[in-house]
Amino acid sequence: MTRTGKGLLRTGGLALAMTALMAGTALSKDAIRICSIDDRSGAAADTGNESYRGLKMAVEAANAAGGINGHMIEMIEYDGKTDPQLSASFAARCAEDDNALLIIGGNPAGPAAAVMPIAGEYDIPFFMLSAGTDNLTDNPAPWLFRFGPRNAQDAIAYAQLLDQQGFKKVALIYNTLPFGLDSATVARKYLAEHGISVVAEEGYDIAATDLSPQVLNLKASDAEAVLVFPYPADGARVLKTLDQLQVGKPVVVSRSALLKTLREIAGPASDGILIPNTVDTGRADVQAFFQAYEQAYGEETQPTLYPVIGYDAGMVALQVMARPDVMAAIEGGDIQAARTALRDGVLAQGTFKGLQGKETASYSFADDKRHGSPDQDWFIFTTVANGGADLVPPDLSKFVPAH
Amino acid sequence: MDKFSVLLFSGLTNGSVYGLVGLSLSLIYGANRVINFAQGEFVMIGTMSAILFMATYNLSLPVALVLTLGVVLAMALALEFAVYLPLRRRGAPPLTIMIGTMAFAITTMGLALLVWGPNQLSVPNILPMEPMTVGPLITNWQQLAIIGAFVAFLGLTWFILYRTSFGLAIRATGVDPKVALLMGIRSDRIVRFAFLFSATVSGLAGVLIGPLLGGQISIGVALTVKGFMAAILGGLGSPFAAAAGGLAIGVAEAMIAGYGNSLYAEPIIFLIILMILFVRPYGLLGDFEAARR
Repeated sequence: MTRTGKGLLRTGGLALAMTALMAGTALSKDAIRICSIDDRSGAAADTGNESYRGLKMAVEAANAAGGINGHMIEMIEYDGKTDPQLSASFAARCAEDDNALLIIGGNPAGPAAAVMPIAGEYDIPFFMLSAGTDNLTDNPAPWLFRFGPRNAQDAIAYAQLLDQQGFKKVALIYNTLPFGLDSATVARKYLAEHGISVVAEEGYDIAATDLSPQVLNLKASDAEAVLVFPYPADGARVLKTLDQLQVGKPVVVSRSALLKTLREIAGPASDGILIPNTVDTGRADVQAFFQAYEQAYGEETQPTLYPVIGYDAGMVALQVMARPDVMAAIEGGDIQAARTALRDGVLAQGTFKGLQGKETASYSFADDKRHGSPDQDWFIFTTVANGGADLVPPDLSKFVPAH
Repeated sequence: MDKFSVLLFSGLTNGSVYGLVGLSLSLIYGANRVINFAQGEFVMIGTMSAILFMATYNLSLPVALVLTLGVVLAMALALEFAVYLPLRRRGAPPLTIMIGTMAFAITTMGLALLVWGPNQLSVPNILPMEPMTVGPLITNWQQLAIIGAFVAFLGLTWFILYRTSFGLAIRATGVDPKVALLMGIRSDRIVRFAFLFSATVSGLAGVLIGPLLGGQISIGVALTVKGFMAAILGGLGSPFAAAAGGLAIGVAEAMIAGYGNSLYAEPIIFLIILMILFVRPYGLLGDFEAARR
């Protein structure tokens, strides 16, 4: 770890330690419980596990620094298995049986949507992670705060980049699951706003082993670039087929391509694709985070948004937890008042710095705005190199319309 | 590149996968009138075992294939001894046994989760995946092997059923199990063979499609659905009809995606299947099953 990185992490830990010491409390106080409900073993398990680890890092740093006002943080974890019903049951258990202060989780959209009404029913804050479906925060729910970008924000980023690089016609290919369909819908809207036409569009079933029909149609079109909205394994198939049929157009793939699985399966066929990321690897604090992450979990990881979202959500929860009104309610044994104070605390503070986005960007929440990430200065495009192994900054001078 | 040829080849590749699962389902159904909802899990276990033996333990290809086959055969015996036979001995109807196979499928997924974890994994390819030109097509050896395996298993099934006395016993059991029993045919052996053979077909299909689909413990569900669709469209009582049903679905998917709208390919195919079943309730080639009833 670099000296700067260690310093930044130490600063974070020190701030939490100061909070604890200033309160002058003993360490024997009751633990504060927070619930993590995420997909840890289903179709989106990569995202759930990485976010969980990020969250755990935030909590462990706080506990190592003496907890919040002397209260240790206890994490209760549930594997929602991408099952909305199961996730909803766990959410009820968190609120009713575990007496948790809040719920953090929700990378896949289906389970996240299932937890939302439970959070509303039991009046418990729900910090939603990378679930991207737009309408989850279209009508602000009182107990919901979203930390990941909406699909529309990804689409705004694609459209701005394509426009800036001189693209006028693109083709879309996506899986026919809700993620693919929703991503394509918002992409169409924002591409049109930037004067970019969609000249070909193909959907596919994720169980199909051969996607030549769809890719042939893209190749035959006069699209200057291809936008792909897949899950990891089917995304690899799309990239391999684009390579096999020598389509030869620049390719942009949604954030699912940040996951190691897609790049491992696609191998060299993934080299050169552009992916929207919300992690700026030029930031010293981001570099420090990923070095600490690799040390903590003993495996090399690429700088993707998933661990960072978990960490950021955890840090916001810990910051707000330390507010006097939240602490007073916790120490008074009134968990419902503590939940309300935590929600009101997030809204009162409104703006939070995190590791996502560019240095200048912040999360910002309000009563009528429950997705924290801003539309601008949030995305940083990355590209794949070395046979799918590495995510590196792209050379955008090469990302121009194919002629 | 001729578009029609590419679409036809793509349809045959996908159709071969559906056909292999359909053939496996139909073999078991022919022997004991049970729909095996765990059939896709044999494909999954084939794929995941290939990862275990070829990537994790880095064993040579022949050894890895033998061990993979061993795992799927052990799983077939587990299905027979832990689910089928106990339910059969207690007089359970086929519908109950079918639910039993579903429970077995879910349990298998749970055990696979413990072994392989939740993530999608890269599956080593046993044949080169680099693009190659064959006439008007660009393909690779792995895709050709899937079609080759389909043809080979179809031929082997035909040989066993129509050129061996054991095959005659299987067909006799399929026509009327009680009469077959009276004629001295041991139906328990027929059923065991059906489980083992269909597991072999599906397991090896898993090894072949893994490098294309990727390995994840939940891939079996979608394949069971497609295989079941294939068997229903072709005719559930005959393995050959089920295999033909798989090819028909694969080719129809490719043609609709290539010449029509890929987004609606699946609903259109389900609609076509429904309309065909209105006219031929036992499937396109289901005369045998219709006559049996």
